[in-house]
Amino acid sequence: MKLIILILIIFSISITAQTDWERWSKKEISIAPDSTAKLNIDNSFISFFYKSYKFLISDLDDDNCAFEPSCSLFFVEAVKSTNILEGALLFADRFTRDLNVLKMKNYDFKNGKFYDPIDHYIFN
Amino acid sequence: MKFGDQLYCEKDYLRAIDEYNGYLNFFSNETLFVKIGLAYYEMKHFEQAFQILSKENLPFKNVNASVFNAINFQKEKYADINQKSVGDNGSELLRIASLKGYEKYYDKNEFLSPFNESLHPELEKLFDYKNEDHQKSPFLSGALSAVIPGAGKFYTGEISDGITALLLTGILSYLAYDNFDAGHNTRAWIFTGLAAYFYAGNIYGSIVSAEKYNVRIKNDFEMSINLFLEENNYFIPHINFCK
Repeated sequence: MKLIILILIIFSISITAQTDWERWSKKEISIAPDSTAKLNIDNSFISFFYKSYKFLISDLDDDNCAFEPSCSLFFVEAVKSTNILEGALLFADRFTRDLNVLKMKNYDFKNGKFYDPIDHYIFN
Repeated sequence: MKFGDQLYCEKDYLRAIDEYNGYLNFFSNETLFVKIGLAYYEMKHFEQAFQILSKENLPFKNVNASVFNAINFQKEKYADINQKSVGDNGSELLRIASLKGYEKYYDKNEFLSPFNESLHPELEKLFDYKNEDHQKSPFLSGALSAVIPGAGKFYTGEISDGITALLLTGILSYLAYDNFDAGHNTRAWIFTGLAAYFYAGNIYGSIVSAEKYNVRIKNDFEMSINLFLEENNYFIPHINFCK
């Protein structure tokens, strides 16, 4: 069983890993406004969490998320749109979708990424 | 006025309206009011169309009444749709409105009766679709995912998401079990927390997925109704002003 898990982990890492030549290769510059710039985060805990993650992990790791908005921003927007519990559950679901490499072609594209905003998951 | 007609027939409605209004400053012509009203309607300027076509003593009463009905339909004011004059589209639009959830119910024959027979196959499909239950139950979706992680996603047709959820929860649960078994309690509790978190997230995601599915099929159905009505110009009787 451990061997199977190890193979699965190595397989998923090798599929989703960012290789060096992608990291440093020439990128198309997007002139679209940064969606995080307009973000007004009221909740101080979420704000702290989000900014810490951005500063300590995301910025160092480059722009890797396949989705627009990114998973962290999705979490913030989910909490803003609902509450901390529902937001966290929606984030867990989003993270599962992020790990799913098979479904990617079903999304719309925005700024060269898979468009998957929180509005698609909140119904009133 | 001929230039106005030419613009009207080329669907250059705004300029046609200007021409017609210029003409109406000097002469009286009731048909021109109808053309102006129809031009406004074609441009989706419903308020102006309504105002112009509400004038008294205009010809083509059935066309004017049909335009009112079409406007009410597009504004979703289904209760205001009615048969005001012979040959208007009231009965057709009321039946189509019933597909969109407007309260009145028709049986199949009654539903199809005012329409041309060539439209019956398409209308039958819409009618049957409306009367079949295509909705997915959010409760069932959540319950399935509670029993087998990812099963709710299978139920709503998101197969690969279901597989991913099953694998993720399964792997995390196994890691938790294995670490408990090996006596690594701290790691075991971390994996237990993660497994529980993604398990709960999957249940909630499955409920949302069913709701999303229902919204999507409702939108698709309404879009096909709108497309059908656009193709048939909301059953507004056709007057050939462009001979």
